[in-house]
Amino acid sequence: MEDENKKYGFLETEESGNLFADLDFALKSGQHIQNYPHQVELFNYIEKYEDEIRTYYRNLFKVNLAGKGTDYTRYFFLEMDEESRGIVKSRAKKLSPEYTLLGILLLKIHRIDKYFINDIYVPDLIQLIKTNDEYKNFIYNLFAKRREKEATEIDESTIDEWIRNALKEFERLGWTHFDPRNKDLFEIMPSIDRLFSMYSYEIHNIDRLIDETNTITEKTGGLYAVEESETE
Amino acid sequence: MLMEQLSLLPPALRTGRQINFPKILRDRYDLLVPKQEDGLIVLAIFQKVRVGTIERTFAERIIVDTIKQVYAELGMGSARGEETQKYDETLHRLLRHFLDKNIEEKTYQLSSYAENFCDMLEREVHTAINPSQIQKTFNDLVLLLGLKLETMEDFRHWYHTQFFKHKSDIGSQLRGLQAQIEDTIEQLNDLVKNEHDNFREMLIGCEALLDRIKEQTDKLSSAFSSKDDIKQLLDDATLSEEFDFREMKREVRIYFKDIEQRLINVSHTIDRIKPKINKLYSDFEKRDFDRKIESFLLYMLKNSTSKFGRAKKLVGRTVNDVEVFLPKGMEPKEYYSDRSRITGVDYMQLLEPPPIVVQQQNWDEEDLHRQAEVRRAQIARDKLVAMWCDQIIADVNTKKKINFSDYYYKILQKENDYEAAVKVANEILRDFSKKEGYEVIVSEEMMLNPKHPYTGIWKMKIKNTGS
Repeated sequence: MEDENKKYGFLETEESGNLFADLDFALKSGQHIQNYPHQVELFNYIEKYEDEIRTYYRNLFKVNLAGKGTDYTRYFFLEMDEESRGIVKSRAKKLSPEYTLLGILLLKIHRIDKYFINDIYVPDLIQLIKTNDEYKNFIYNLFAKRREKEATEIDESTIDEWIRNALKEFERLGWTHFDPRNKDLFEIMPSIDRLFSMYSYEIHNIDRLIDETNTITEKTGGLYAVEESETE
Repeated sequence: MLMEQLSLLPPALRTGRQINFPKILRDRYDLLVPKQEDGLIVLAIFQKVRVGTIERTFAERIIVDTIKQVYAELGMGSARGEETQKYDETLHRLLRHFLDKNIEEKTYQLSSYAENFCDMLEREVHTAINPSQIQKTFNDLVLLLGLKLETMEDFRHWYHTQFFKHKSDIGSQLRGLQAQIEDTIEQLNDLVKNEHDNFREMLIGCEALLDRIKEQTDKLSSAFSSKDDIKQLLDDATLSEEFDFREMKREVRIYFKDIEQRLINVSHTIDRIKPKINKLYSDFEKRDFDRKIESFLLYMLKNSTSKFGRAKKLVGRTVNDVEVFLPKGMEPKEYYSDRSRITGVDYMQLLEPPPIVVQQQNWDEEDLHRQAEVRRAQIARDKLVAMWCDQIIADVNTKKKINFSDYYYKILQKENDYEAAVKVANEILRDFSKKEGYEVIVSEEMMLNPKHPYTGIWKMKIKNTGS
């Protein structure tokens, strides 16, 4: 009994009185906590009691408190590991396909093309996505079933809506942070790397995946050929 | 004296007088120092003998074959019919210093000059770095020096034989290291300039090579530690009085200093290259990773599909109802979310309310007093109306029957306010018309009052029928 008390002794601290409820709610909502001004209190609190908090979630909720990245890119979140996956299946949520697509797209733009530094203005992002020669046609095809040139106002609104809703979802997950004074300005948080780790296997094996898809295309007599010509 | 015996260099070189090379050296120089193709033919034969492809003594056919191979390698084709003559000329040239012919057996073998020449060539180009050998060489040098410091003659012998011979060995080891570094740098530059499919493997190869060079350099440095013993022995020697000794000692010291500096340079060069290699690695890793992310994104966008429902009307805009599906075999990923257990409501896409229009309020401060007065008058009238209504209701209940017209004129008289009188009439008649147990009787008989000559009202009676 004494050991048990010690194990969760951090809950008796004053800091826990101030911060634990917020942290617990955030983590259980699927949020990622990082060393950025708007989350710095929670972040410092986790760092201070990292082992104890991890034990707490492991023993009582059967989930793992994961910490990834280093220094300013460090972030924490709750995850189900192989052991807990079966037990807490009902507490899992899937990132919807449309949000997944925007997440990867956003990362590609931000991390590789480096079109933006720090704050991103949402209308700029929308404009960029709609005009990028590399993928605009795929996007219009997905959300409007039309080419960009033939798109109607409804189609344009659909793409805007997709981008804005996805950004809201990322905000909830802690992957982006909107400027409280300007709702059109946001910043990408280090924890968006979680999306990479989620798809790391597929990303590392993308060449093989493309080869396999091409083989299937050939075997099926160019099943995708029509789509390709449409989007080019 | 000994120097002159050991060298072909005329004394004039050292004294600064006119150079006078031996005639034989001038005449035969081109034969002693072969042209590229001749040198490579000799080297090829030397290597064939060493690996056992051919015997130590060989037939003329072997030489001709080798000549053909080397010419082909160098792209030195000859016109048809001229080949035989060319092979013949080459063979004769080589016979002067590089090949020995056994006339009886009609066989050939490489001359010892040819073997030395090839050995030197290989050592210069591919020095097998051998620190442990150098260590032994140094030990020998130290050991012998210890014995050769008694007389000037002994020391001269050590200096001109042991030291000179090993100096050459050590020098070639260092040149070997430097050549390896230069090769590696060249490979790295080539890697940076040109796109290579096996970039990563090549980079790993270069790095391993540099690690090996560094390791050899360290070993050589440690092998050279005996140089301090040599310096010490020289310092302690009793021959310091001799001018020649001091000169040679100076030479030895300069030489070691030079070696030390060159080893440091090799280490520094490697230290400078290393971070650049690491940068190349990270650039490559990043380049490869970036490329994969780009490919992944395009793959996902290209192969995802969508299903359309009826268009959705949102506030201020209409959008397509789209359901997106990731490419076949690509599953949406899960993350931990226990929020539903806390709030009981899952995340919903709610309609956004329209923005509130902020009204601009302009105040006419000067008019405020008047407006207040109007409002006060209104409130006073409302109170008056309520008071009269209460009185009439009370009278109806006690008297069972009243004539409203009387009250009307009474109000006009007391309050002198038409609007109040009309309002009371309106309220009372509306209320009692609907009220159960009361009856409003209107007869078309105009009731007049001389005090209010311009006003008339129908005769209206209110009767309490309920009690």
